[in-house]
Amino acid sequence: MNDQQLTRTALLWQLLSVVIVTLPHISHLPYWITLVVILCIVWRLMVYLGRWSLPPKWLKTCLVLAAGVGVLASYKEGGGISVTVALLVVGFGLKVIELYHRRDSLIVLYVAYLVASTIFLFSQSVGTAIYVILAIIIVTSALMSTNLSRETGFIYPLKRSVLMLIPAFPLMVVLFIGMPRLGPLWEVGLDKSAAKTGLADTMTPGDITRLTRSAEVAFRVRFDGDVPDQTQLYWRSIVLSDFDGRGWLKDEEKVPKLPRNRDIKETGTFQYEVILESNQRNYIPVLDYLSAWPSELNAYADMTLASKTKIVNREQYKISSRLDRGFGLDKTADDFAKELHIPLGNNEAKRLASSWWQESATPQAFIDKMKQYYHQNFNYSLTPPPLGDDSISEFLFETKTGFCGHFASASAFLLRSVGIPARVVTGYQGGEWNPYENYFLVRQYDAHAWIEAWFPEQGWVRMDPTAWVAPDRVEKPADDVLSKDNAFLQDNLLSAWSISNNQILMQIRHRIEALNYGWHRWVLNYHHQQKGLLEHLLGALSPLKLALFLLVPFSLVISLTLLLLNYKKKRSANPSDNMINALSAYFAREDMARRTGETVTHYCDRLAQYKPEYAESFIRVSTLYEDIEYGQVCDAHRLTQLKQEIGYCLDVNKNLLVRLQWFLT
Amino acid sequence: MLSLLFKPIVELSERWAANRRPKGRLIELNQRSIFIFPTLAGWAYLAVCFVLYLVATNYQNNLIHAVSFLLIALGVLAIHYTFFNLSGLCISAVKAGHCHVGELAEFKLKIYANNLRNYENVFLCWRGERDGQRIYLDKTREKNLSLYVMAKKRGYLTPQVLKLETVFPFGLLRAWSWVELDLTAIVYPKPEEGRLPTSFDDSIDGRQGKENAGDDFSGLDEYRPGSSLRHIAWKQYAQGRGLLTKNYVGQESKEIWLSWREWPELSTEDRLSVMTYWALECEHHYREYGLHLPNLSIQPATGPEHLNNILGELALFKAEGSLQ
Repeated sequence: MNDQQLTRTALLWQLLSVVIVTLPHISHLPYWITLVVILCIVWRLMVYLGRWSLPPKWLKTCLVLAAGVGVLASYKEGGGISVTVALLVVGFGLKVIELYHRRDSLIVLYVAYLVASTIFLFSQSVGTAIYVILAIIIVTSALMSTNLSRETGFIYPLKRSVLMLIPAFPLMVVLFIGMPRLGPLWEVGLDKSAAKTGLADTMTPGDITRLTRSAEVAFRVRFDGDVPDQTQLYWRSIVLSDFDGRGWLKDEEKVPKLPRNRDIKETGTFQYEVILESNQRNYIPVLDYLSAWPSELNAYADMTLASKTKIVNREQYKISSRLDRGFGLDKTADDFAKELHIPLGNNEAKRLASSWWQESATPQAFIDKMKQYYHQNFNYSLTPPPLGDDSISEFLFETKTGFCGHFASASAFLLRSVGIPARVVTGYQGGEWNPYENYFLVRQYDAHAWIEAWFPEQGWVRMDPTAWVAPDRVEKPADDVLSKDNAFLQDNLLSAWSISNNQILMQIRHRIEALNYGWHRWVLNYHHQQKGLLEHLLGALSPLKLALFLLVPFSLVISLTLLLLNYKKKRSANPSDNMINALSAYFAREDMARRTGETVTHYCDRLAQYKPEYAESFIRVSTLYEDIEYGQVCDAHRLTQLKQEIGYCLDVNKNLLVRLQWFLT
Repeated sequence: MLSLLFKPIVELSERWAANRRPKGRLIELNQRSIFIFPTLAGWAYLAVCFVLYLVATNYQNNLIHAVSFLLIALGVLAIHYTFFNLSGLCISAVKAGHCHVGELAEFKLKIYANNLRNYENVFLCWRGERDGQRIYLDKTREKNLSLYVMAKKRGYLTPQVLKLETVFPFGLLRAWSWVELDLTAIVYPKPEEGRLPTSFDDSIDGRQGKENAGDDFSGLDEYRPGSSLRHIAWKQYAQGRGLLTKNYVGQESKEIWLSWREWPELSTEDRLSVMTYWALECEHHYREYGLHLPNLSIQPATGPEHLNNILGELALFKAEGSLQ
């Protein structure tokens, strides 16, 4: 049966499914693969139209070899799943040329299913999910079209596969909810080309401009219980204590780990759940200051939290922090050689610092002077002019324009010049509160840099020099403040449009965001919720309960489908047959039912003999029936006539009710 | 060796299947008679689902999990869809066409369904025959079709069991059913030219053209089925007097007897073949012919019904299973 030739409709469906599953991959595939696929489809179409002929075997072999070498050459660095996807796409693209038999199309379509699902390795938005569902519907239609023995209309396979797929969706939901998820079986990772923007381990003012332009989601946070004030939302991610004169680096030495504190629900703490998008790094943003964290994570003495491996998937962690106490109280000034180190250069800045220091009686007075200085002449901008070698001095005396990175860098430098230990902290600030689902959404443009200075009595104290210059940046969500700046969201016109002061638009946006949050929490991150949900639904879990939970709805849906399929059996397709059956059913009580195998003409003759006064009506019934069934004159008019004649026949017993019933049905 | 080992199992299952097989002239397929099993493509589909499940598990990707679950659900449903693409089909044996040895015997079937489902791509073939027919039933609800079997020897020809099979909708599963239709064709002996029968005093060719001229018209008779069309009185028919046949004097004496004893030099089969040949020739030339066989004789006459009678007797003469 497999060597059956493809019908023309089937061929078109194959080509359509190849196109639809390849489209979303175009952006990350080498461009020549797209060209190869297009070439193959065009070639096959030309064959279909009878213009070209199928390529000879040697040419096909050459193409396959060339494409294989091409893929390997394009991905020199091994690229994991991208190479696999590229190979699959090239493979089934080439197979398209020789689509001729059912067997060929099976290979193409099965690979199409695989390629369609790998779309989810690159994007997992609601839109992508809808697209993939459409793609699966189309591939399924193509699969069905190969199993039709005749030329049908183009839409016919689609119509029937949609009908057949509908009951599959509730089954999918049941499996999705109930099927236990296993952990990864072996190490996998997306390649670097798919890496997203995120915080870097170094900060040379200028880097964060790029981050600011991205509206990508960094993470979402849901608080259990109290929610801190917006000005307190400093999501600490990386601590940079090495300054090389131009940029800030992460401490090269190993920072000691924090002792574990498992009691998450300590009083006075904020409990929250961070749903972190893949950032291709280890850091996990937390509020100052960490108090408890999940056991699979490492917390460090600089109050940062990190995962043991790179975060390549969306992850979810329950963390608690307290905002009321500093840390590092047990240290002395001698412990901070690194936090006091200043390299050569930037002499003007050093001179400025020491002149202020001489005028100030306390460190606080020094800080006030710094604040004042910023207040007078400085501008907050996302497009600052470039800085030369003495970046701090240039910023403080010449350009006087910058964003958080510049201010943090300069302030930490000034503090260090007068002997106050200081370092830069990068992370995110604030977040957008979603009133519908009660969570904060933190985007990449919320990335921020601030400083920490150490004082003997207070320990590490957080200071945000940017807030001195642009207090709005801290008090309001970043999009409110930054949207006036042209550089903001340059890369993302759509988001820029959606960010507006318009109340209605804002509400719509929040609704969409809430939906998105639900999507992330309940679909993309379902494996974190599964146990809780199942326990909520079923009580204590046992394999038997789980099996029943899967089986009962599963069999329900299937039986419902079968009922629907069988329901059609109840009615006969033929209206004239139905009427004869009704006639027979009526006379059955007088023992004059139609016998099995008896022709309608014979039956009507028999009835005519039985009720001679109605003989003419019976004969007319049989004539009309013959006309309708065999004379190919089955029109509505004749059916009405037949109905009327049978109506007369049913009148044999002068029962008005029977006639009324007949004409009403 | 291996086949010897499996022989009892095969025989047992064969007998089991044969018992379940529906028999008769009108058969409706139901769960008792339908078998279903994944095709090679179905196993491959299962492999695709498994690969997706692995990818989903390894990348902790719930959406790929969802796709693999969707495909698994579709596969499970496909079992039912495939089953329902056979279940409810009615096969009715209409007629077996008769033929000569070496020709294809035609078996006419009617396929219909008493429900509103569409049946797509159902393949019908006799067991052992490679060629079959694909049918679909949509709104027409009824399909007449002919299946052919090569007639290898004369006598009754009962075809092997009929196989109905479908892989619709997705080719993942094959549902099939064996039915034994109560349909028998009669295979006539293969016509072979031979010596003229002795009662054939004149060559047929020689008599052509003189038929009407030589014989004297003796009157009109009422038309009997089987009478030669040449003898129909068309003029009288046109006058509205009904179908009449012209009678000619002298025809009775020209009647031909195809007798078993005529060709003693030939074997049984060859004799039957020659008799078949001459029966066909006589019918072709509107000569009345009768049949003498050791166990019976048929009075001379012409016409398709008469020919069928005679050919039937020739076919079944000492044939296997002729006692049926």
